[in-house]
Amino acid sequence: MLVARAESLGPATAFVSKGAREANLPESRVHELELLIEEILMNVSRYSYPEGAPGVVTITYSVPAPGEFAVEVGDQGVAFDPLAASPPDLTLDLMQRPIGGLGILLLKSFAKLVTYRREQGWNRLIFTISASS
Amino acid sequence: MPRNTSRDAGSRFPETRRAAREMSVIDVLCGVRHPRGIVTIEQTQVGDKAVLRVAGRMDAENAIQFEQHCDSCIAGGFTHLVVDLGDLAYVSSMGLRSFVATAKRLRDKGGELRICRLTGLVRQVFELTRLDRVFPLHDSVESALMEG
Repeated sequence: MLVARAESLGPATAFVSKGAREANLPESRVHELELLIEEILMNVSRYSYPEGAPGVVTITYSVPAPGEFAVEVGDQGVAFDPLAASPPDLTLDLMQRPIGGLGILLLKSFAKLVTYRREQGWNRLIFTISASS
Repeated sequence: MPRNTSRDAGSRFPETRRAAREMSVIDVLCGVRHPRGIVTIEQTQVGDKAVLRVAGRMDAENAIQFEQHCDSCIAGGFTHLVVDLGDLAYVSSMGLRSFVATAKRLRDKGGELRICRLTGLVRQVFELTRLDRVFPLHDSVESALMEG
């Protein structure tokens, strides 16, 4: 259980990475996993909890099948489905490109499966990363 | 395997096949620091261009360092920056924000941000976000300096 802010990235990443390595995920997949954890945590800190109010995040992982690694990130913030956001327009030139909006794109690109649900006051985002690219 | 000790409101990972561990609260409460790596920026000058060799990992915690360094270059009169990312192992969307924001500021001044030596995960991230088509990309610092 963490506080949803940038300072928690280190412990969160270390926790999940350790589990991924124990599950024999290739190092390249571990680095992608670290990226996805960061993207999700930063979204939680930015959108799920009100400005300035630290919120709790839980991170759980499991090995649902050989070669697969699943992570669930839960928070008790406002209902926020990151998968419902419109995808960014990647065809825009530099001056028209918005500064942000790429985190969820990266999540969808690297994860094999991403799901979201809201239940009992919790946002739950689950993604699976596969050992093979 | 440790027993499931979930204390949250009902994670759906099945108990029977759950090889799950939950984030240890102890480390966070005791302020144990888990180093994520740092970003280093080495600056040189070639003609009227600043060359920034960026190494390490650029993430939400330290991406601002790069942006601030570029701001100081711009304040110092540079309008053309060449960024060597050959030794950058990791970049998140916060890092990408810094590149885009800096490139826009330079473009506003009639200048440009050129990126060279993308590799590995960093190259993948640029390609997935199509930023490899937004920035002038080069295979070497020399090539980036020679253009235009």
